[in-house]
Amino acid sequence: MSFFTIIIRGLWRRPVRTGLTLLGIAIGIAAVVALVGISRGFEKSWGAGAKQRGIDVVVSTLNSGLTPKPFSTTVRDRVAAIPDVGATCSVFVDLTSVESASMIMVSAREWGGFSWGNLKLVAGRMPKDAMEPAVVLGQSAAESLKKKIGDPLQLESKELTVVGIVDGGALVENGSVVLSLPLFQEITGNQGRINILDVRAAHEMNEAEMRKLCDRINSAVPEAKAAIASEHISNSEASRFIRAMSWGTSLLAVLVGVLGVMNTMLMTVFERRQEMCILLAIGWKRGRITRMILWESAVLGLLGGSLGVLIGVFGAKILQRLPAVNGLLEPDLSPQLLAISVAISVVVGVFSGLYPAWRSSRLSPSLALQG
Amino acid sequence: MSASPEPSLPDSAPPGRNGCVYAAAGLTKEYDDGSVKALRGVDFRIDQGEFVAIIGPSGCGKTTLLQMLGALDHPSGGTLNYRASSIPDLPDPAAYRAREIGFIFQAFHLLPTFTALENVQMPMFETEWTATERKDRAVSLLKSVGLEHRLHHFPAKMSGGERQRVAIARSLANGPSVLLADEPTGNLDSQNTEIILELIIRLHQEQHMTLVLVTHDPAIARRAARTIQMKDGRIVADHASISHPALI
Amino acid sequence: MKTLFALLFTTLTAAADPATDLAARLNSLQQDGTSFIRVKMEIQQTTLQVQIKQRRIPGATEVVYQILWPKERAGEAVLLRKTANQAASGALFMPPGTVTKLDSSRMKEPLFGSALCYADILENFFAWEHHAIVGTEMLDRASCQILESKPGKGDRSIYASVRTWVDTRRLVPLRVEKYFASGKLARRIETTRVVTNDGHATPANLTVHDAARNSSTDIDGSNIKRGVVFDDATFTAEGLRQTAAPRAKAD
Repeated sequence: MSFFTIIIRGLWRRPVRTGLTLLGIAIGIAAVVALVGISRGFEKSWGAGAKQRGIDVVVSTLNSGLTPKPFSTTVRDRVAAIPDVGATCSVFVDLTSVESASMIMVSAREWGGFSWGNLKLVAGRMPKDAMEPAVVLGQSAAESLKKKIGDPLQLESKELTVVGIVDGGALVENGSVVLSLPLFQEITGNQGRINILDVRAAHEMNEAEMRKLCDRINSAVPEAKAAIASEHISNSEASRFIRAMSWGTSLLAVLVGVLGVMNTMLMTVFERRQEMCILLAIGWKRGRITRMILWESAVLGLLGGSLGVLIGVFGAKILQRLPAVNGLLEPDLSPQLLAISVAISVVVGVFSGLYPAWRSSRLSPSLALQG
Repeated sequence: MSASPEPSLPDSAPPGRNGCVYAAAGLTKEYDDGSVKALRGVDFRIDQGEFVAIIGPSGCGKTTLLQMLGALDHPSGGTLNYRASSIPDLPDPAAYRAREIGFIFQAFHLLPTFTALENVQMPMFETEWTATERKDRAVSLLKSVGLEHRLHHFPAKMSGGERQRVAIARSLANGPSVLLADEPTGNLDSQNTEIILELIIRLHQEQHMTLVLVTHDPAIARRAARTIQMKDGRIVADHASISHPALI
Repeated sequence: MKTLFALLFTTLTAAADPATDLAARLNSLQQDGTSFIRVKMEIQQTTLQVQIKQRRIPGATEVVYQILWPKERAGEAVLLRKTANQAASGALFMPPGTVTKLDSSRMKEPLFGSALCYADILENFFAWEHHAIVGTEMLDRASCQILESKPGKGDRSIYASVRTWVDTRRLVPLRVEKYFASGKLARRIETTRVVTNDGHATPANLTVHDAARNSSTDIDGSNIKRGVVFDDATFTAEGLRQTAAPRAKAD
């Protein structure tokens, strides 16, 4: 028998209570994993989408709302004139209701622009020219709109034909309806307007050089804001809000877990008061009793955290498959996030055990003789 | 070990095989800010290898005295020494309890969620023994109290007599030089009482341990070589028992 | 000095009659010029994509509702117009080429089979003559004043009174109840999502409940463009055939 056996036996003496406490922490940690994973996944897949298309800098007005505000296409010419800017591609992105789908990403790209380059055809073909009434659909967009090649797709007042299914390499891309910018502008009456400008640097740049390029673009086009592509989405207010919300909600859930563990460990200390006095009487040091309580709550945290990670991963996968979310979100369940979640849980466990442990250290061994 | 001056003792014999183990002078203990006086000035001396019964009616202070001897509580006044050290001033009372003392309680006080074998190992966590050494020692201790067939039983599945034998094995875990027993047969029937007493006395004799046994039963007290009789927090009599087996 | 006077004047009128003042403020928000809106309408189990062209200016309201999707109904369109103190009129277009005139007697008829009737689209009860604040209530954690509006002699309506729950902080109606002369509830319109668009709070969805037929329609807004330029034909029977989007105002 090791000291660890004693810890486990202590938890096992009230299996139902221990189980419920575990579940309490597990739900808190599951919330951390699922919510934070989803919000990070959203940012990451956006970043991956940008990288996939070979975009270094994104110029837009993304500061509130889900889609950026439109600005004039002249921004493109002013940006293209800046040294170190290799290529530009005008884009109009809209998050809108299409046919029976409530929300879908419509991505209209400059005809011939580099942002088309990384779409891999899975089936069908690309539009023939800038004004052909045709769209290509990302794989999950095709799924959620229930479309195959040759089907009509109503966009605003215009009926277009689905000519191709594409793999965009990133989730945001795969959930999009992609079409040519001039066609989209004509359909929606947005002639002369775009809301995103993708910029590719003229040569390989490190982060500092990239920031300098952003500064130069910002002084050339005051109506929009340039950001490094991978950071673009993280800077938006909506995304900051989502991140704050997901952490806030999870921490609240974790706080409930803390109270659960603290309550359980206090109950344990009260319930096992006499046992602890006996252990003191037969020679245990107070420190060992304190350690026992802290270890017990740490193990609660570890087990609860591990269970929570499982529930969270499972829950995020289910969320991902919900029809309302399908294609829009892919949780980023990196080993790092899972490890952090378990670590949070263990810290929470130890933290919750501090007060009960302090209480246990104040017991007097003389109580052992009083029956 | 201790900075306190050597107390004046009735008879200061040199420490050794028959040296002084406990020496108390003017020992008092008060509870609740002095409104309850459990010990009102107690003087005695107990030597190595002695078997002393402390007898008296309930509330006479005998359990309080045992607590003082086991360093479970602090005296309010007077001095109490273990060998040459003042017990209240021990730098590490837990180590004293773990290494020098074996406790036997009236209610056995085994931990219900651990087997006999595990209960016996409990005090050994304060030693440097390995898990295997702890286990081997616990097995041999349980054998010595005749429970080799009960190693993996939980206390709830054992009779009162068996439980007390496990408790005795546990008290011997770290090879103490003193056994402190508080009404060890108080919860047992007469047959088990006899078995337990025989066991305790045998251990005391074989291992030359000092044995201090608290009881209210004169019949049990008569088994001891020496009886200290207490009343109202004072020692009223301290004499050799006539029926001590050694004298027969 | 002029501002001070205006401020004083507004304060005075407000102090004189808060109900009329509230109605006047809502009325001026309602008359927001031209706009182009696309909504998703769910009528019982069917989904429609509908685009709305409207021009609302003091004294005149003109609107066109056109079905874009599904294909079987694409092109169906309704024109409704009303100028101050005149009877409402309009036209119904069914592809390929049928145009039916609508006169004021048909304003009770439902729009595209939904829980909304033509009068609901056209009538601006904030411009009616009589207004009173009849209570306050919390709706969705927003404190609302309940404004009761009744048509005056010059106002024609199929309704006898309308109650509006107005979130006074954001100045946006959260619930509207319309009553017939019999005192029976005709329709209840509610919103659960309010978005801020160009600094104005706008309901982004509406649930319309027709009490008589016990049917509901959900309307979800997906796009709104304000200040668009419509050509002259837009609000005529001929314009109903035209579904192309108007050009956005140059920035």
